[in-house]
Amino acid sequence: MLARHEKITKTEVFFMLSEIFCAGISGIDGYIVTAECNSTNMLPAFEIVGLPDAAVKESRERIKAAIENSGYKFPELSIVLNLAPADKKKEGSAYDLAMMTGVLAAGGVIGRGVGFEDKCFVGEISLSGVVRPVRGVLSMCAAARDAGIKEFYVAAENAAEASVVEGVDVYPVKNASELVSHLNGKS
Amino acid sequence: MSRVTQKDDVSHHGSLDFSDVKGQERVKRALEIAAAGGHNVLLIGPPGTGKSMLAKRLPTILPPLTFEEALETTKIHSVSGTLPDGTGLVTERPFRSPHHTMSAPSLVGGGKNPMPGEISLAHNGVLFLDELPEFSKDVTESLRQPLEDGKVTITRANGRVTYPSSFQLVCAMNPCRCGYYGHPTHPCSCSAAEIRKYLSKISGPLLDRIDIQVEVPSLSYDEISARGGESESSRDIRERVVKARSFAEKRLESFAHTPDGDAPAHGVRKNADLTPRLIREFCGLDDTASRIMKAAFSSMGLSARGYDRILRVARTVADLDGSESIKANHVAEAVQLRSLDRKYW
Repeated sequence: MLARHEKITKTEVFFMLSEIFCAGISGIDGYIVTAECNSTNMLPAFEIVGLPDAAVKESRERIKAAIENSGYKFPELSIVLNLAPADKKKEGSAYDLAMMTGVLAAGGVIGRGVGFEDKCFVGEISLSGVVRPVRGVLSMCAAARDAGIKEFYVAAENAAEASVVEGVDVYPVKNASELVSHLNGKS
Repeated sequence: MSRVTQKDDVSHHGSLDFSDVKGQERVKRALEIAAAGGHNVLLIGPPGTGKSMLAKRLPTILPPLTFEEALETTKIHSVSGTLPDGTGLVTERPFRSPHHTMSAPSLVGGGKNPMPGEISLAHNGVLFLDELPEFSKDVTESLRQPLEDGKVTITRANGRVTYPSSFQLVCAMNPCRCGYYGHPTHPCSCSAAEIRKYLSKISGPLLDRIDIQVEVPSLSYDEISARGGESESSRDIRERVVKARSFAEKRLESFAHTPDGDAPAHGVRKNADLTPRLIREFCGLDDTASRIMKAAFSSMGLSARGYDRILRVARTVADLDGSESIKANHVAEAVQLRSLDRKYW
């Protein structure tokens, strides 16, 4: 009994912070939104901050279900997702894909070696993990290109529209497991 | 997962062509001028004469979209979710014809989380308002500022957004409630007061922004039943329109750039956008032409704005003719396209 108790107290608290890029729309122009994902091994929790509206708040449930239905384990960590800039209202479901990627990275499903600094993820997630199209992808992709993004991940239905923008490689994503194996294969 | 390369785009005007419309050569000519100069058009005529049919074919004679225009139009349709799945770039000019029961916010854009309205969806294309007097007053009046500025700014609690809205306005209407006022054979059942009331639904300021107003008369039996004599196809008309536009653009080019950045023609690409200063510069009349203009001015009771409007249209007519100077016949044709001013209002 005592030995086990010692083991727990000795466990180190660890932090992991990852920054995943996605994009929002203001007028007809896109702007880069950073989904900052901070995870610690404290009491399991999952919180989204950064002026999310109802649709963004609901993506918590979508992300949880999508990860589990894709055959991965939802990490037993305390996760806080911040959508920066935190003073702009975030609407809609386009941030789902980036936030899910952040959670998968926190849980170790996506390998630690994968770099996210030149990638941008835009799309809605279904409960089964399928990536759905969103509005305004052309403007978002243009904004991503201007911000120096090299790889743009979207739903297959949005790929033609995004590929109008030159200077960015557009990757159509069917579902979560396809994304995971693609990213892990790359690292 | 593999990288996507750009793919070809879809066209949605499909098989529409000007050669589908029988007769109405005067109206077709008016639409050709409108296309060449980017002028707004009002079509007036009894029911069933082909007003909507003609208006729907206007995009087929407009010059093709430039890449920048296509990009901007695609952005708007992408943001508003009206882009069909799998579409890359919108390459055809949009044609929007909203129903007359629409609200002002759905026309100019709005909502709690602002979205583009019909005028922005028609950006770089045609906005067609069929049965213009049936639109509610606040809807038609809200067109005035975007028509002037080519963009619209919407302010809501959540913030302020600006949408581009540079469109060509085409309106169609009956001359009265029953539709037959001025018809050669069909009697009109409206009283004089009713006719006045019907026409007064369109305000002077809006009418002032419509350069070309043309009557669409009912066709005679011979014209309808005529066989053969294929009328001109959209492709041929478009060729002339493109030529006239580049003729005008060359002239504007020399005024579009000055060293101090204060160019008088900056951002002006078509004759419909000529400022009063540019009209003085480009629309000088010779003796015969100014005599016709003078006669028209006094007999039609033209306003200063109406005068400018005729000069702009005359400039376009001359461009279609490939003529650097505006001649008497150009002014005469331009005056013809305003004569409704006198007849109805």
